[in-house]
Amino acid sequence: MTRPPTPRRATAVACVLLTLAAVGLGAQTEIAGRLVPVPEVDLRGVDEAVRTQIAGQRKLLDDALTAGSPTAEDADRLGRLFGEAGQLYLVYDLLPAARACLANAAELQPRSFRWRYLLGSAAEHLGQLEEAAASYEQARALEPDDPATAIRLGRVHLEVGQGEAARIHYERALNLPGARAAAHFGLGRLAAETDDPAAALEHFQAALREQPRANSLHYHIAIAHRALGNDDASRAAMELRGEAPVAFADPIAAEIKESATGIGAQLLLGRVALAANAFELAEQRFREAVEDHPRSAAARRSLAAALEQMGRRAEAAMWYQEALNLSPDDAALQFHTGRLYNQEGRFQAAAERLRRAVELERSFGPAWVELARSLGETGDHLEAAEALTQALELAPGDQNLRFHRASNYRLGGRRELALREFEALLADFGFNRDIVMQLGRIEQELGRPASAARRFEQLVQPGADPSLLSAAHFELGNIRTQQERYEEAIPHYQRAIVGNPTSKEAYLNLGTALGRLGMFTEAALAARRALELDPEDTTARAAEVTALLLAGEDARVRLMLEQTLELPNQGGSGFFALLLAEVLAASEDDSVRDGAMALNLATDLFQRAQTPAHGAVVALAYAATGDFEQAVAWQQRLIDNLERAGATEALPAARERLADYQAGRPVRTPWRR
Amino acid sequence: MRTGATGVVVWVASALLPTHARAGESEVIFVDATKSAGLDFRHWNGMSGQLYYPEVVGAGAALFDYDNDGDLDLYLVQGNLLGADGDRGQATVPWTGDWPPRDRLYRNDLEHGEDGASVRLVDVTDESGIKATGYGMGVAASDLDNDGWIDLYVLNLGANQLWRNEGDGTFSDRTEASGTGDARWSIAAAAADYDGDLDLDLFVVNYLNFSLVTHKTCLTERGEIDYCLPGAYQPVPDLLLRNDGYGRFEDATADAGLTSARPGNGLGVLAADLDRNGRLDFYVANDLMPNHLWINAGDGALVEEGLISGAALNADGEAEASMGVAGGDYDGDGDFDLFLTHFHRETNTLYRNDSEPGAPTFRDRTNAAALARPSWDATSFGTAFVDLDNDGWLDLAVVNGAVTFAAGRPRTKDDPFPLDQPNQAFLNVAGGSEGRRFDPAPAGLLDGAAPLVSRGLATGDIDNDGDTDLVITNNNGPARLLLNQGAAGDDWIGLAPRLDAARGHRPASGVTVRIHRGAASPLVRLAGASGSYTSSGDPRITVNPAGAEVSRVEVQWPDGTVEEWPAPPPAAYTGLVRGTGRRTEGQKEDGE
Repeated sequence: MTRPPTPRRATAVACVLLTLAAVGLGAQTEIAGRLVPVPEVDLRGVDEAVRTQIAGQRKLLDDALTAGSPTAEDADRLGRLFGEAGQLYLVYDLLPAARACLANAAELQPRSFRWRYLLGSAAEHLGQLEEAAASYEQARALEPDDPATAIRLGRVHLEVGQGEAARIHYERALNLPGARAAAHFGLGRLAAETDDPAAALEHFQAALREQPRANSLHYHIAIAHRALGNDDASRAAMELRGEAPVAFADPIAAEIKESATGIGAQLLLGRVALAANAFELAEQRFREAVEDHPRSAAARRSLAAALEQMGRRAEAAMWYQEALNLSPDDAALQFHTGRLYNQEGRFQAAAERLRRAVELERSFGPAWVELARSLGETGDHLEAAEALTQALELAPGDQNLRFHRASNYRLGGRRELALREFEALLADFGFNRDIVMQLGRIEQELGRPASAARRFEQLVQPGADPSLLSAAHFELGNIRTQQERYEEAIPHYQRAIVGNPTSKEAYLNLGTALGRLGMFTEAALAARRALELDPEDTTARAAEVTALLLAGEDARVRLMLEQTLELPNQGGSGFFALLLAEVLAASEDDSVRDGAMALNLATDLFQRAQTPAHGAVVALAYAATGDFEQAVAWQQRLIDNLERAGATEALPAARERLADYQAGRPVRTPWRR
Repeated sequence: MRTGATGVVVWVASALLPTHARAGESEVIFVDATKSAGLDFRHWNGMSGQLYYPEVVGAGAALFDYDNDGDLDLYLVQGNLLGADGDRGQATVPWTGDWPPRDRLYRNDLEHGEDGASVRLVDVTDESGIKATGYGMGVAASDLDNDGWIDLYVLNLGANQLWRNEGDGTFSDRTEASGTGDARWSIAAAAADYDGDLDLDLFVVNYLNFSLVTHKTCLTERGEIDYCLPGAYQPVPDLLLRNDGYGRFEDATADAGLTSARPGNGLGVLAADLDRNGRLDFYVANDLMPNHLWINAGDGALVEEGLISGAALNADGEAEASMGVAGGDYDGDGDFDLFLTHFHRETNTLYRNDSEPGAPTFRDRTNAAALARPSWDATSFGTAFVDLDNDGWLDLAVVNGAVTFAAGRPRTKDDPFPLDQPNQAFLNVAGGSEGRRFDPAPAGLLDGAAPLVSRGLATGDIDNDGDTDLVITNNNGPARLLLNQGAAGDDWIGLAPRLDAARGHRPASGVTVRIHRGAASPLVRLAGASGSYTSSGDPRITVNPAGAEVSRVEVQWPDGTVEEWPAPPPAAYTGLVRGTGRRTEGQKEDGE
């Protein structure tokens, strides 16, 4: 090659060439001196299947270049590899690389018509028409009767304004099989360029006779008629105009086109369909690729990705696993599988895949992040924080990653460290409500309610995001409740509810605060709202019942408890049954109180759970039936058990109750005490 | 003539021009006066990584005298945020100005000193009252309500806007009242009097049916995500709006016959008498579809003659991705030839006009004029026939910028929009098989400091020194003002065809001006603001008679009438007001 190297970035091939020169391998350096560097191809955004194809071809080439002592056969093989790489680049429109590879192929295999021809084609596509003409001429010297070369030579000469040269090639092509129509067309174009419409018309019509399906010729015939003043004939011909071009025999170009229909193209078609939201078509393409290529992980991965995009996660996971079986050391595949498992809530399995992904590729940032998610979900917060540390090494200063790491420190119990991390984030990025919220919660968890309250107060500013505002009010309500400042807690809970009307916890805690202020009816209402939000919540149900009892609504409570106990699988039924027994035994309302029923229920419950509480209710029920002897006996047994258990704080109340029984005094509404 | 004190001479051609001499040959020097003139406009395409098609399409500029002080002011069209849920924080390139982004109007406070005139552009957007905050594409500047003040018609992705010039430095939004708010994706418009009633109608070129809903993700043959090509969407029909004389428009699309042709992916439009029958025709550049040549039948009808005339497809019979269009008499034979700009790996295409009156005929002469190869790697947009070197022959300016990463470079985090390409200029020289050919001017002539992603090209004599200056708009980049500092000499002639003096300054559009030069062939120029890409240029013309003596000038008006005037004084602009010249039967040869 005498053509100067293309001034592009250094390349793998160029590096190999330098290496060959440095080690002084005579024959190799001789080869090296004859080759041009292949421009680097930027494959970052390229479809993976295409990238794999190109990388595979490049590896073959690099291996051949670095192999042992070259022989003439090696040079020949190298030429073939360059040629094949050039073809591949041509298929994917990577023209500068194609041109360089084909130039090297032609240099190493100087008798190869194919490489010369394709080199001409690459140059032509690059608009380097003189270079194209030179390559085609060299190809013609090797195969003088190739029709495609003749037609292409005519065309490039026509385009550079060398009409006479073009004419020679087209006229020669008139005698070559498979080129007559194209030759006539070229001669017609040439005649039109030189303002000879009569000759142009003759050639276009001859081309049409040769190739009647080439209905685009009618356009040229129409234009020639127009130039000759035959307006009617022109319009008639224009009516027949179609899109089919004039074709000529070009087996090499056909092969190149065909080679683009391998797996790369198959997958590409699928991805094109996917990009156009034609999901069924995409799935069909990928399934065809899977069937045609039983060992292709890429085909399975593509199918999995499509299925995932279609929301068919279980199938997607299966195909990712299939792909993994074929390519277990593919970090990206491990990542995608793990990511999908995370989405499905299979966090343990996800963590396993993602650990493998980062083992295979330590610098796989998204895999570290996804792994942290798996670990966080399984409660391994400190390990999750470690994974995020790894991710942060790859993306230093990433605010989100730092935030999540600090959150994991907090959830993992390293609250002081979390506090420092969040403080640092605040210092680096300025005021951020999410960070302040986290800081408030940590302060609270560390038992610093005043500091926590100050943080949350920062968040309850006008214009804040309603959900965050609600959360801050909720936390402030909790702090005030802890401090027994219920009057202050209540408005915070109310604002929390305004910001987030579906917050069951806010209603419950509001109820608690109201109850502490003796506002039992309101407390019961708040608990009812919580229960409406979650009818299964036994805490809310218990809160409502308790509040109603304290409000003196014994009849309503009895009815509610009886209904509750009829509900199937009602959680907390033991608690509610015991409470019912207590209400039946000790209600002030005669219509509610029923000592016999209370005794039956209490003794029945005691058979199932012999706890001090159950014993106390049995005693209460006996007293309600007027059997104070049994009441005293049961209460004394309870006191004995409490003494043995050392539960001294419960003893005064128990003894007081014993005194009532000994005096024959029934106990009423003990819950109000 | 003047050399800006703070400008930078980007190219001096005298040492580099081809050795063959030609009459009137002089230096070609452009000075990047963007900074010194105070032009601080920067286009923002609002891209957010989704690769929405419109991001790579805009935007244009208009050179027009909005305050009637005799110099050209400048209007620049702005983009906006597209999608991203309206969250401008998601934009790839942050918007740094006041929100929302909007089009800008700059007043030219031309200062005259000892060294000549100095351009000073003052941003008067706020005081003008113009609040054009749509996703802008193009602009047409013309007096649309016949009050003597030039109005603006802004083309958008979404409803277009008509800004009426109130004559006191302010504009008012008359979109609704005028009936011009086409809500489709419009790119360009030509204001021209197609029905001969002496008011300016609007031919609005629409592109595709893109919306955030129809947005598609497109891939290259290598599977890379890239901006789409037009085939991904459906073409949207063009629109013809007939002016009632008072700035109100009615839809004449169907009446005029525009619905008879298959809609095209329209990007550029030129109004000119292309078939030499005395009436204004429209040529529409369509993207990857046959171009349209709407021949004016004279009875209110427009007839599509693109295919039959040879102006719709190139010499291979292929439709090309036409973007910009220029009209001018490059070969000096008295009619307007066409130059179309195209996608990379297509040539730009020169159609020589071989029409007989009423029989439009064009022939692709790209190869013969040596214009094919230089454009092979470029994606070209704005273009104009202008006499860059003041030799009396029309040269070509072409501005370029890719629309796909495949045609530019792969994008990276540091370089998210690598679509820049060098602009080009071609000098019309003697030679070639047909007497004239175009030689590429050295690289960098029209690039300022470095190539950008150029789109619009508005041409005009901004410093009133007799040569043609350029405003180049760049997608997601700064607008550039390039002042022509070649030697126009003292014999240049400036002509400003006007329709009616009684109703004020009313620049004509699409009129044919002939400058007769004794025995030499007349210079024929197209006066008006249409053509190029998304942009609107100087309605006046300036010519260099190239050493010959000018004997008379002639104007062919949109209603077909022709008037002539004696030779105007050199080195100045002369108004040629319809009705003040001597009526003639048509074109006459000197010496008759």
